[in-house]
Order: sequence, then C-alpha cells, then structure tokens
Amino acid sequence: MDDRRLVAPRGLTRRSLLKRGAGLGAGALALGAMPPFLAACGSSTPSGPKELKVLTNQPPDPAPPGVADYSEEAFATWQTDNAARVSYESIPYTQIHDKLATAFASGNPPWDIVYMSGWVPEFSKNLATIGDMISAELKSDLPPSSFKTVTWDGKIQGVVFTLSLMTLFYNTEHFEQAGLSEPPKTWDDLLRYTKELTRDGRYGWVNNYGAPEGIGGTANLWMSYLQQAGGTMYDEGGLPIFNDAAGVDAAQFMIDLWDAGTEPGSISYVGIADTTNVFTAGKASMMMNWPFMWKPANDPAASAIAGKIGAAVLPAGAAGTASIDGTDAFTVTTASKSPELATKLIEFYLAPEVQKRQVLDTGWLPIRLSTLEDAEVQAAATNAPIVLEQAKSPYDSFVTPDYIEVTQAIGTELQRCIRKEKSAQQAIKDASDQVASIVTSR
Amino acid sequence: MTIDPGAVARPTGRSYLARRRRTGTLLVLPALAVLALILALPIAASLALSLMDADTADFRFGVFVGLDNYRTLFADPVFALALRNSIYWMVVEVAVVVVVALWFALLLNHPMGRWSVFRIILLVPWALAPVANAVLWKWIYNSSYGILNFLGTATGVLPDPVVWLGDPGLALNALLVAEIWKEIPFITLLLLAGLQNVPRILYRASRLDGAGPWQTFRFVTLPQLRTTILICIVLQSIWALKSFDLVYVLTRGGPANATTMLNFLAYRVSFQFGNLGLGAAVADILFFVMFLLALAYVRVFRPARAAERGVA
Amino acid sequence: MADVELRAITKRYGAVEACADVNLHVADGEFVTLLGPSGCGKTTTLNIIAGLDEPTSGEVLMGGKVVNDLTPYERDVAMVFQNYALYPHMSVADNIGFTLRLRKRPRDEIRRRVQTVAEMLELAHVLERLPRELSGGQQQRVALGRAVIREPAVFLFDEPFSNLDAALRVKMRVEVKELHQRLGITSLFVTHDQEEALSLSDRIAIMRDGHVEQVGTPDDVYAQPRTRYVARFIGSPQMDIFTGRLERRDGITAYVVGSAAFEIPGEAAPTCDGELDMGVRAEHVRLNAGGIPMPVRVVQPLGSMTYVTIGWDEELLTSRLLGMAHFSPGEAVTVSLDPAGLLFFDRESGRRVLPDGALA
Repeated sequence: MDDRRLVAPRGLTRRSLLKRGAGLGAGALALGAMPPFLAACGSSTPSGPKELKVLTNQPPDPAPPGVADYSEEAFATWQTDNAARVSYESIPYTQIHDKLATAFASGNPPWDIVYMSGWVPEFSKNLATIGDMISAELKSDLPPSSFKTVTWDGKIQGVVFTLSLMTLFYNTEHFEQAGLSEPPKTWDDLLRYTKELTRDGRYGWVNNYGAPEGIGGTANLWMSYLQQAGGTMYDEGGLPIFNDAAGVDAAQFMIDLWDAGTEPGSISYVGIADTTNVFTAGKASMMMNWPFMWKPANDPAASAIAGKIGAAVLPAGAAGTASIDGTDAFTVTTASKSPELATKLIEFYLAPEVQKRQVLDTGWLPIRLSTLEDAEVQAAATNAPIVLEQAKSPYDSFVTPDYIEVTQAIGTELQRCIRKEKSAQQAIKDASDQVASIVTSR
Repeated sequence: MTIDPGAVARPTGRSYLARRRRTGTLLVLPALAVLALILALPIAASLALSLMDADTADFRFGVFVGLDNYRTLFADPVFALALRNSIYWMVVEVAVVVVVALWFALLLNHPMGRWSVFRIILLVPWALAPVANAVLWKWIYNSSYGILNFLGTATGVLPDPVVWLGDPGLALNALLVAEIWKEIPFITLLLLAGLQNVPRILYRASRLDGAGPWQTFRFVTLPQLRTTILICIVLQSIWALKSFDLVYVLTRGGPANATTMLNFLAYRVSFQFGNLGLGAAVADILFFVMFLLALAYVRVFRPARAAERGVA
Repeated sequence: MADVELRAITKRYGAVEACADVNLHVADGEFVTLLGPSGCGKTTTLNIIAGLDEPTSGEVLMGGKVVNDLTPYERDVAMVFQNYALYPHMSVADNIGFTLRLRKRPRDEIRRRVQTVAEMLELAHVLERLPRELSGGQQQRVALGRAVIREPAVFLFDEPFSNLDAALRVKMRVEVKELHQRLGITSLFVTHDQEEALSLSDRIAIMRDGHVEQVGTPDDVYAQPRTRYVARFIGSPQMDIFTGRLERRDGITAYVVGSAAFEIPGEAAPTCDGELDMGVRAEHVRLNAGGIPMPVRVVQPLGSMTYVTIGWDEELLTSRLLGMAHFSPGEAVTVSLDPAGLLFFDRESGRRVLPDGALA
C-alpha cells in the first residue's frame, strides 16, 4: 500500500490516476475521488492554493469551523496564510463509519482529513501516523489519555479535539420536587433516586439501548459500569477478561436500573438524540450524556427544561466512578498528498483561540487543558469542571479494530438480559465467548 | 404453369433470413455488452468475493477460502434468525399487501371510487422517500411522545404506552406495518390496471347468468386477475426481501436482532464489521433466493403464451 | 315463456336521448328484430329489456308484469352478445354450464344438460377446450348454448353475427332461425343488417334516433314503408328516390324530374299533386320496354341477377334484372317504371303519401 505515497506528493499523471481508478467494484467511489486529484494537478504549479478535503460530522455532533459557526474569520485567515482551500463534506454521524469503510475499501478515499469516533484501530492501515508531526506544545497541553483511542500499534494517528466523556445529567426541578438535594454518588444512590423519581408519569432514568454497537451504543454504555465495578475488557494479549464478577455486576446493574425505573422506550432508542429528547421533554429525570448535548439541552428553543439541568460525575461502583470516551478525533488519510498541511489544519482546529470559541459558541468542550482551565470557559460551560473531574477517573471505550463487531455481540447479549431473556451471568458469558472468537479470528 | 413454391422461395428466403438474423445479432451486441458489464460482472465479482476472506481495509488482498464463509454463516445463529425473519417478513408482507391492495383496487374500480383524488391520496405513501417514510414511522412509534401511543392512550384503547420497537415480536410487526403501508399503493395500481383490463362485457354476462357480487368476483374477476396477482406476488416477494430503510432507521436490527433480516445483515457484516467476504456470502444467498423468484416471475407468463401459440 | 312489452321507454344520458318514447309489444314466441343504424338506440333498448340498463322513464313488462325492479337473472332472460362474452378462463362446458353451477344444480344434471345443448349446437367434440381455441363460429355457438341451456322466457341477441364473416353469418342465421322454430322462445334480435332482419323476423321494428319508425312484418316494411327512411333502409339495392314534382296536364299524370318526365297511370299516383318525392325499387325499373332513353353507366352481374345503373349525371337509377343480362357502359336503353312499384313521400315529413292523398 505504500506505493501510493511515492506517487502522491508529486502530483498525479493521468496513467496513475487511471490505475487507481481501476479498483474492483469501486467505480463510483473512484469517480468521487477524481475532482480533488484533478485540482491537485492544477495546484502543482506553485501559485494555486492547495485543496484539503475534510469529511466530518454535521452538528449537533462536534464539527470544525466552517461547518459549525465559530472562528470563521480565523479559519479564513488560516486558509489565506497557508495558500489552502478547505472543502467540507459533512454528513450525519450515523453514516460516517460506513462511508469510510467503503471509501477505504476502494483504495481511493477522497479526503485528506477524516473525523473518527473509535475507528482508528479499524482503519489504522488507511491513516497517516501524524504523531511526529504534531507540535510538542500542543501535545503537552492535551490529556495524555486522550491519545489512547487514536493510537494503534504504538503509532499516534489522530488528535481528539473535544473532551467528550459521559457524565450524569439530571433535572434539578425533579430533584427538588422529590426532596433530593444532591446528585447520586453511588450505584445504590442511583437506584434509590431512580425509584423515587419514577412517578407522575415520568421515569427516573433514560438511556439508549436500541443500538448495541459502536461508541455510545449499549455495549459502550455498559463499559462505563464495567470500569466502575473495577473490571476491564482485555488482558495484555488482547483476549477478553470481562466475564468476571465486575462484568456481571455491570450487566446486573443495568437490569436493576431498568427495574428501578428506566424509561421503557430506552430499549428502542437507537441514538443519544432519542434519549436526550425524552430527558429534555421532562419525561425522565436523569441520564448519562455527552458534554456536547449540554448546550442544546439548555437551549429554550429545543428544550423544555433549559436552565434546570445539573451535571455530576457518574455514580461510583465498587471501584469508584468511571466513564467512556466519545473519542471525537481528526485523522489524516494515507491518501492525502499534503499530509503536512493537513496536520497543520488539525493543529489550527486545536489552536487555543479556536478551542475557546468552540466551547463558547457551540458548547463542545475543548480538549486543551489550558482552555479547559480558562475562567471564561468554565463560567460559560458550567459542565466543564464536571467533565474535567470525570476525566480524572478511567474513561476507556476499549476501541479495537473489530470494535463494531465486538460491541454488536456484547450489546445484543445485554439487550437480551435487560429484556430478561437470560440472566446477567449467562449474557456476559455468551458475550465473552463471542468476543473471544471475534478477537482470535482477527 | 405449375410452381413448386419450395423450389423458388426457399433459397432466397434462407439467405434473407440469415442476413436478418445476423443484422439483428449485431444490433443487439452492444446492449448485451453493456448488460454484461453492469450486471454479469458485479454478480460474478460478488460471487468471487464470497469465496474470499477480505475486509474493508485491504480487500484487494483477500485470500481464497473456498466455502468457508458459507460454512460460517450456516453455523451462525444470527444468520438463522435473519433468514427466519426474512421469510416471515416476506410471507406476511406479500399476503397482506396483495389482499389489501386487491381490496383497494376493487374500491377504486367501483364507479364511486373513480374520483381521481382517491388515486392521488393512495399514491402518497409510495411517493414518500424511503428514509423520510422511515423517519415518519420512527416518530409515530416513539414510545414516549409518538402519536400512536398518544392516540391509543387518549382513546383508552391502550391502557399504557407501548414500546412498539422494544419487544422483539412487536418490533418486527411494527416495521411490517410501516412497510406494508408504503408498499400497498404500487400493487394497488398494478391490480387496478389488471381490473380495468377485464372486459366489462363479462360482468354483464355473469349478471345474466345469475351471479351475485361475490360469485362474480370469485368466478370472473379473480380468474381474470390471476396473472396480475401472480406477478404482484413475485414482485412483492423480491421487494420484501430487499427491505432495508425501515430497519436501518428505526431499529438497526434490534432489539436483540429481532428485526435483523438478510439484507440488513449483509450490510452490517460488510460495512460495519468490514467483513466483505462474509457479507458477500449473505448477499449472494439473498441473490440466489431472488433469482429463483425472478425465474418464477418469468414462468408466470409462459403458460398463456404457449397456449396462444398452440392455437395458431 | 312470456310476451314482452315496452311502454313509453325513454332513456337519457345527460342531454342525449338514446331512447325516446319507445313502445313495442312482442308476443309470446314471436321473433322480433330491432333494426337501425348504429346509434339509433336499439342496443340501449335491448339492455333495458335485459335489465342491464335502467330506463329514465317508462315500463318494461314481461308476462304482463312490470319487471323494472328485477335483476337480469330474475327477469329470466338470456342474452347473446356481439363479441360472445365467453369467460376466457373457462372451458366450453364450464361456459355453457356456468349458470347451472351458480344455481347449485347437481353435477350430473349439469353434465347431462350441457351435453344435450352441445350436441344440438355441434359442440360436443370441443367441450373441454378454452374459448380462445375455438373458431369464431364455434365461439358464437357456445354463446348460443350458454343462452339456450337456461331455457329462458326471452332470448335477447345483440348483433350476434357482426364479428363473423359473410358466409358464416348466413349459416348462423339459419341455425338461429331453426333454433327459434324448434324452441319457440320469445326472441328480440338487434341488428343493423336489414337482410338479417328480413330473413329472421316475424316482425321488424325499425328504429331511428331513439324512436320506433315502423313496426311490421317483413312484407309490410318492405312493400308498405311508412316513411322514406324505412323505404331506403329496407331492401337491397337501396330504393332510388327522385326529388321532383307530380304534375297533371291534359289528363295525363307525369312525374317531372329535371328535364325528364315519367308518365304515370292515373290510378298509380296519389290524388294530390305538387312537390313529392318518388321512390322506386330496382325490380320495378324496366329496361328496353319503351319509355325514356337513358345511357347505361355501370353493370354489376351477380349471377342470379344483374344490377344495371343508368341515368345522367347525378340522377341515377338502378334496375334489377333476373339472370345475367348483358349491357355495356354508355349503351342507350329505354327506361320505364312499373306503376305498381311507385311510392310517393311527403318531402317535408318524409311520410308516405297514400293513393288517397293521406299521409301514412
């Protein structure tokens, strides 16, 4: 695959272009890939701007300047200064993985920079190792743990651009009505609170268990409980070790939480938006949520409970609190013929002033520690200190190359035990067996 | 003068026919080439892919593994479940769509149903974009703020809100209702066209013979619609197996794979798990089933044509 | 068995009046034809009798009882349609036996009765075939069989032979007539073919623009047409009509057309004179028996007879001679008219002027 990099920086001859286009069954994608290449041919003369293509989320999921409304002037200036023209392809979060999978399979992904959410191990072969190109200054201002989900085989292949850990969101009005003055601190608190808050046609807890797979799916949610119970997913050799007391406790806790008063639709919600809608409609009192939902949940135009939301670290299990990582990151594809420029663009996205505007204008927290500590930021993003607090405890999403397959297997078993089709023990054992077989066939 | 027609006509006739046939072949060749390129090639490629161990990251370096992928599938309980779901889905969808569509077609064919507005209303579900339809039904079925639960509890039909997409049996049937709602219009139009092709004189004859409305339907309408209904059944079976949007938008195959069908499984295995070889195997099994249905479709026309030729 | 009576039947489709005050009585066992060009209302009338159409006003009586509110089946009528209307998916036997099957008759009775009818109509060897595997004549006989098997009170025929070729038509005519003679069932037959009407009917009702112009036996309508319209509609070749003047001068009666004048014996002409139309059938035009010289224009030998068309310019006249007569175009002949065959019509109303000068 490395032959591609020999061709790329020089600009393309027509023949090599045809050769690339000849990938099996990839006709449409190859055509889709051509405009930037053609543009690149033109730009090999020193005068023209270089084009960078970026595949990213659509808001409300986190997105860079130019897609979301922040730091637009700085973005324009950066393009001028670097003689670059950035064009975006922004699509809903749920479609990004599959689009990447087909584009990478074709061998001709048309983008220089792509958004990643836990898929770095899966697409590792298609991503440039940019760890060495990132400035030391930036690296030192990022939480070291943020590189965990963008590193595979010891190579850093991306940069997380927003601190995205799940924390507890709760409805302060409901708490007052129930005479609860503090957020729940432990699993026992959470169960008790959930029971008490389940009344008047509403529920104590809501979650999205409908889609088992991926970041934010049923299995990923369970991983937060797994770590709270003191468990982990894999041993040193990458084999599953979650079929233990912690794994079963985590599953059992989901069942108990269900019985205590989880909104019954939770088993059918396939995304965080479905769940947040129930929460912001005032039909449920507590939920685990990503920081990027803080701002829309407090927007009176979209939320019936704006201004009545509290945030707290997730209740602690036997091993304390823990969370899961949203892993929103930018990476550079090996197909990019300007990897240095692409990396510079990522660095721009992570520049302190852009990071600050990101949180102030969109609510998506920065990842830079210095920005997170900024007083103005902390005043505006009232959940920021909580997220920072949460970040002091483990927040691993355990991403692997077969992440979706693994989470599909575990999540489906969890759905079964939540629906009481099997016990927590049985579900975790069955899940472990399946994951073992998936991992060993890798 | 006596003329042996064979002696005179045959030599020129044969060469003329031969020339005609050759020209015809030449004219058809480009079309055949295009068909081979856009149909045969992908089918062959997909079959080849199903015999390889290939993933999305580097599928061009796939390894030939023979029938391993098929063996894996037949041992996989999820595949068995998806197959069962697909068959249930197809049978129920075809039966309900054809029966209800026939009923609608009869109503629309009735003098009181001829008002064109009825036909426009009928077409609305069909004209909706598939994903728009799916999103629409996602809202209808939402257990917390969906219109279905709202109406159900407001009228007292439902004592409590129902999580339509949360129970395996309920979820599959809820998707079926949405699918059927969307599929009825087209089949109705096909059957309506069939009904309008039934010579009206036959209805007059059956009235004179003493047939009531039911007997007329049973002995005149239904036999006359036989071919149309068979075509509808085969086409709808193929379309039912292809269903994807509703599963993708509403349930992602859940809960606990209750709404996972072959087509969705092929997508999940190929593009989510990245296992293109295994995904191709699922798709090829689906292709094989549809191919059999298509053969049935072709055969539906045959008996009638053969009989007509027999007369001549 | 029943007689059929139409009382003041009117049928309107919007502004169009398909039937206007149609009155007709068909006696029990009688064979009556409704004759007229397309659009004259004859099929609508038949459908109203059948009960397939409702009249706007008026009454249909069968056996003396008003049947307006009865279904076609309850009226006990059987109908043979123009394009047969056989059930394409049923065998010949099933087509013929369908009505018995609907009546839940026992199987062997159905089989027996189908067999009898099939033998009568020479269909016994094709009973298991589908309609599309039959010839046109066979299909027509199946349609007849389907009507016959019911032993109905009234037979209705809606142009049943119009899809057949000429030879088959004549053959079927004989079969239908024979069938009627054998079964004696009251029959109404719709056709636009005057020859069919003349050859089959006990009486003919000639219709025009929704009303009945004349009802009478074939003899009556041929020899004593009540109107110019009937006179021209009945008979082949069509009656020639002159637009001239009847004049009496010096004791001689003559019919003057343009520059020609035919002398007419006094007793053959009506007592009135003036602007009258005069009609004459081809058999009453005599050649070379004295009279006015005219040139031959066209000769049509037909074997048993020969039509000779004669005259100047627009004024043409056809003569029918028996056997093969030999004339050449352009040849001069003398033309005279048989006084017994002359018919006079009021120009305005089209009604025939009787010898006493009264209108028919």
